[in-house]
Amino acid sequence: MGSLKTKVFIFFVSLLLLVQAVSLWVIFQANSRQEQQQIDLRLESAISAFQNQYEQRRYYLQAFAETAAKDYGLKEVFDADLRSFLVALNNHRKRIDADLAIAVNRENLITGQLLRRDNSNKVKVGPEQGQFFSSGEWFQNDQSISELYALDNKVYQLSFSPLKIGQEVIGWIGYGYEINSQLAQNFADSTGLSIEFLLKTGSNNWSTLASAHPSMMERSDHKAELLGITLLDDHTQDSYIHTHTVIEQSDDRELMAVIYGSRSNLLEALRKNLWELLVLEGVTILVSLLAAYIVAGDISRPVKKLVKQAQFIAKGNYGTSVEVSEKNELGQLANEFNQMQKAVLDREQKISHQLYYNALTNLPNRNSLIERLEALFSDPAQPFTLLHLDIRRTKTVNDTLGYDAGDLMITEVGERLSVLNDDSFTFHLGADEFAVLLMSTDLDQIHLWQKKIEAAMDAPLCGEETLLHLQLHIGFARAPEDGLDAHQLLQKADTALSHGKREMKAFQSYLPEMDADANQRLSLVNDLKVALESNDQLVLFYQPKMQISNGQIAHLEALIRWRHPEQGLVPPDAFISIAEQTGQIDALTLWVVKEAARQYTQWREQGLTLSIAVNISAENLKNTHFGEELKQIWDQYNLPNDALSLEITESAVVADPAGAIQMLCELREQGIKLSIDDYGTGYSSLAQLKQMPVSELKIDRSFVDKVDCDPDDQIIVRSTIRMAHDMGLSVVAEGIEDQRTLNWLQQNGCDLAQGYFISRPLPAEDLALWLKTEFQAIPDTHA
Amino acid sequence: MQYKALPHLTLLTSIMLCAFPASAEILEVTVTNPDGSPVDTLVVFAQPLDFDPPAQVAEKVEIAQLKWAFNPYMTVVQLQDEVAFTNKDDFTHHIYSVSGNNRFSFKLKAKDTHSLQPKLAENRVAQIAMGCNIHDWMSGYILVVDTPYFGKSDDLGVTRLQLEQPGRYQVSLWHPQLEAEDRLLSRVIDVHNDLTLEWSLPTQLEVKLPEVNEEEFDFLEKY
Repeated sequence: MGSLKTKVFIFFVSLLLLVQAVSLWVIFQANSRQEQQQIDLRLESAISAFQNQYEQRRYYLQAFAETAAKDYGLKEVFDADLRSFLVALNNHRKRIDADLAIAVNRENLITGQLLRRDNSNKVKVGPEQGQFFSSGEWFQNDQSISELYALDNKVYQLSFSPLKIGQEVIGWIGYGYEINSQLAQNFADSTGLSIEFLLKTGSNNWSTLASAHPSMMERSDHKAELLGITLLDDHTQDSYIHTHTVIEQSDDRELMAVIYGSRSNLLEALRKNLWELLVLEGVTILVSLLAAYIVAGDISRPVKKLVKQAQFIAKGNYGTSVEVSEKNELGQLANEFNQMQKAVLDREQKISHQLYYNALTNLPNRNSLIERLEALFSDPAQPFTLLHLDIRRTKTVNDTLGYDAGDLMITEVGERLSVLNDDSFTFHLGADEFAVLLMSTDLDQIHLWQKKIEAAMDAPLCGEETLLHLQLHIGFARAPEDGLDAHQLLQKADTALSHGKREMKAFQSYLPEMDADANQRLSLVNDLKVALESNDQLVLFYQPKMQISNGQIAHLEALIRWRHPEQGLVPPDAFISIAEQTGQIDALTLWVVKEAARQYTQWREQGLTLSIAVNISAENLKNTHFGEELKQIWDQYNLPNDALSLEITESAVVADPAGAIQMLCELREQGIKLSIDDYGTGYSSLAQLKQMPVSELKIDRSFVDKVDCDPDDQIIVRSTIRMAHDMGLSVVAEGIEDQRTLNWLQQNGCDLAQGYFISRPLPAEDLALWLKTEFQAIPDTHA
Repeated sequence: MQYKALPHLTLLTSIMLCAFPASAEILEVTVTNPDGSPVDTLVVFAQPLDFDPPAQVAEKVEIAQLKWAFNPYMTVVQLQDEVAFTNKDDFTHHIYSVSGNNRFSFKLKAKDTHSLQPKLAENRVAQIAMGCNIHDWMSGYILVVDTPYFGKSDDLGVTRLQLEQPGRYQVSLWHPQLEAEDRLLSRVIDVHNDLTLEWSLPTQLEVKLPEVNEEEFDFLEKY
């Protein structure tokens, strides 16, 4: 039970109990102080009562002794007629019921001593009758005197008065009371305390002379014990309160009265008061608990309302709001609660937006697309086409210019696509992938859209420092013929896109064979290894690079082809990436270099001197033994330095400029000629270009395609050529497909041209044949 | 202070001088306290050791009760003298003594007289302490001696005793408040000529005479 009500209640109760505990403690303290005071007072007054009683007895005895001493009858028979004297002495004794009467003459002789017999009213002559009185020094001053007198193990309170004839002291007469249980009893009854008379004779040898307990205690069941001596020695007896007073103290004797009583008896009344107080406290606590319970309820009621509301909200019910009328903190809390509810609602909408929209472009995302596709599939009468778009070189842009530039590119593509959005729908699937829905499966319509999209992407994007070319791969699949549900259709479109990328096609329709391709691709991984060893599956094709100035052919680019025994001719894009991913790229590259070297040597023997350029991968540059391995091949075939050259893509260098440049420098030092391929797509900086130990630039075909008509491309190509020449590099233009382009390049000083317009890539034999037919003069001039 | 006995003593001496024409020696005793002050009203008496004291004529010595007091306070009598108690007050006294063999007790109405003859104790001296049973504070003493040679010191502490013949005498000093055994100080001296004896007491003698508290009787004035 951790509810607020319980907590408030417990808090109140704890506070209450604490306060009560403190108050009880104070009461207890006060009570025990009062008890102690009561005890002190009781004991003090007991001592005082005893002393009074004792002093009264002394006074009484002395007054009586003085009176008796003046009696002529006594004097008359004193020291003369012993019989008569003792009778007279006893007559006086009887008047005050004294326990001892004693007469001493001038010679210190005890002329009369009378003792009361134990427990009776009879009298006997004392043992000291006729003997010398031992305490003669008491009489030096001829005055009355009161002393304690010990006789026969009893102690008497004794007062003497002189027997005088005129001034003449003829003797002493004394009367005494025994210090006995009667004295004690009188005291005990009047004070309600026990008393014991203790006598010490010799060293610390206490004995109890007499004792008494209050009558009511005597009547009680337990036998009253004598505790005097114990209490005198032991002060730890807590159950008794006690005190003592010294009655007489001399060198050889000490008489003491010990007064004590049971603590519990004495404090009975006080304890009763305390109990009454405790009961009162108990009642107070009960009443306060009730009050605390009610207060706790009051506090927790609005809180309970809030709790109920919170449970509502947890169930997603945002409609209602809490109303707490209080103006205090709880009211504020309810207010905050309602605001929170609003905020939660907003956030939930935002989250749900993010669930269906891409955060970067704010376009509907893959989830939206799937929902939309599912909605479309639910109406079989509606044919539609899904275009899957992918921005080319996004990774390169991200790597070289940073993610901001990549994001800028993606955003721009998204915007341009959504501008086209009339009866189509644009989705951003994530990263650099988009999708567009067309409500038609008509191929003409689709191609029309392709043109629209390409036109929209035509204008380059001005980045912060760079012009970015927006180029797309597009794959598409049609419903219902290509797929029967959303996921299937998406997969087909994706397959078409991947295929298009591999085939370097900008626009690719899904074809059922592609699924088989995908399966075949898997088997290529294993087959490539076999191919590398078999030596008859892999083959090099050669594409000439024409010297524009004189139209002669002295350079070729070697392009690998794989004649798969089952799949036929496999394009390089399909297996080079596999080789790179499976670590077979070194072996593949070395195979290509060796084959090119062999072919060079073979042509050389035929009288053809054709320098062959070989493509190497970025992976090759990471192999630290690459330079050595090449050198071995050069040595093996005894090649001149310029027999083979290496082409590396600009993007491969840009990915790890430092490492790549170091390796390139090493190769360059071996005398191998290097060339930058696909220049203009890798966004390398001029600083990097400057560092690269290359002797040739190959301008990417995307710039060359329309160079005869596009002024922007013209500017780029022209300035690239000029810059390359200024840096001492030769320039190759790729992708030349017509005479006009070649002419433009010639006019602008481009060194070499390569493309279908000059020649497709050809097998070695075909190339040799082509050279012989087209350029018969060439071998001669070289030879 | 009244000295009733002295004229009688002088007379006696003169008679003896006539009977025995021997030379008479004067013994002069000067008693001083330890601080040098003279001790007055102290009884001095001399008892011949070498011969019997001369025979005496019985005399009647009066002790009056006047104004709640014995008058005189101290009375020296020779054995066989008669002591007459005369009540000169106008109220009754009850005179008593419990001293040794001189115990007596009698009531004296106003103006009455009671006579008695004191006895001698074993040591040739008797001291009788007297009181009044009605008036507790009243105190008086009788010294009984067996010699005619006695006297009381004067203001200068001097007592002159006329001794009838030379020889050894036991000279004694007595006062009821003298701190000594039996309140007596004695010494033996040989007397041949006139002799002056300087006697210094071992302890100071401070005489306290019984005092009457007149206030005690205020309530009686009417009666």
